[in-house]
Amino acid sequence: MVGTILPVVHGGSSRKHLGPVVAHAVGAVSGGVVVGASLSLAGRWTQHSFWGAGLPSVGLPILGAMALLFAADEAGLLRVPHPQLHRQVSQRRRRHAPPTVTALRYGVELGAGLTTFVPVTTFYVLLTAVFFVGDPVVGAGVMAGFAGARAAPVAAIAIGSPDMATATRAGDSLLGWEPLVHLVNALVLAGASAYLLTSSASNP
Amino acid sequence: MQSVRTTVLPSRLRRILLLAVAGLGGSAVALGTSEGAGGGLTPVAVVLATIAGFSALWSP
Repeated sequence: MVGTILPVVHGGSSRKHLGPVVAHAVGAVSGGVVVGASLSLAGRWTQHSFWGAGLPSVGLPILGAMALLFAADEAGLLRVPHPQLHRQVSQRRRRHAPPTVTALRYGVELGAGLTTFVPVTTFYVLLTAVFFVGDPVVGAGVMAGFAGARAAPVAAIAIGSPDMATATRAGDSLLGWEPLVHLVNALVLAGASAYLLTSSASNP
Repeated sequence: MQSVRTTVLPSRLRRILLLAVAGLGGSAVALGTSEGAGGGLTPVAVVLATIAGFSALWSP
């Protein structure tokens, strides 16, 4: 992802790329807010329509079991299907639009997270958690956090690099950490799973 | 001098143990907090959002 985004958000000089970096961040947070609010609203409607306010008895066990399954997947202990769309902003649009507009589009798509690659299964558990939260404001805030965490490292690399070659090298140097990233996700999911299942059991 | 032989756990077993430790930590936090079950979902979602967002840097 970094290899594709950096040329978009990095205008080639330290002054030029601030516009695209800001546009990317604004687009990302906007995309996250829309998805988070919509999903939580759908969750609220579903919970009120089908099982009342029974989050502890229904939502938490489902989410806990899901987190456990994906924790094992992230740890490489079993393989679970990863449904995802691999769509990206089209090359044609990328070529013809100004860098700021392209960076904004990238930001919206990546912040929403639904139409691009899903690198870690934590994302599926996150979407389900946002659904069960059932509060559009909280859902929007949580997904804005996701989008912000997704956009911030790209912005940091772009702003901190004097030229494109340095930015690309910084991006490439991250690749070796991928196995550790999956393990950290597995541990976070395992902790979250136990937390949710214990909460559910102790607050029936 | 007697050499000390260290046991290296198989990678798979070590990962299972790490998951178990993380699980124990999660359960301990749940038992130690007084929040109701519904109220505890938001902090979990925030943690998941942060880690998932940052990890997306490794997206192809």
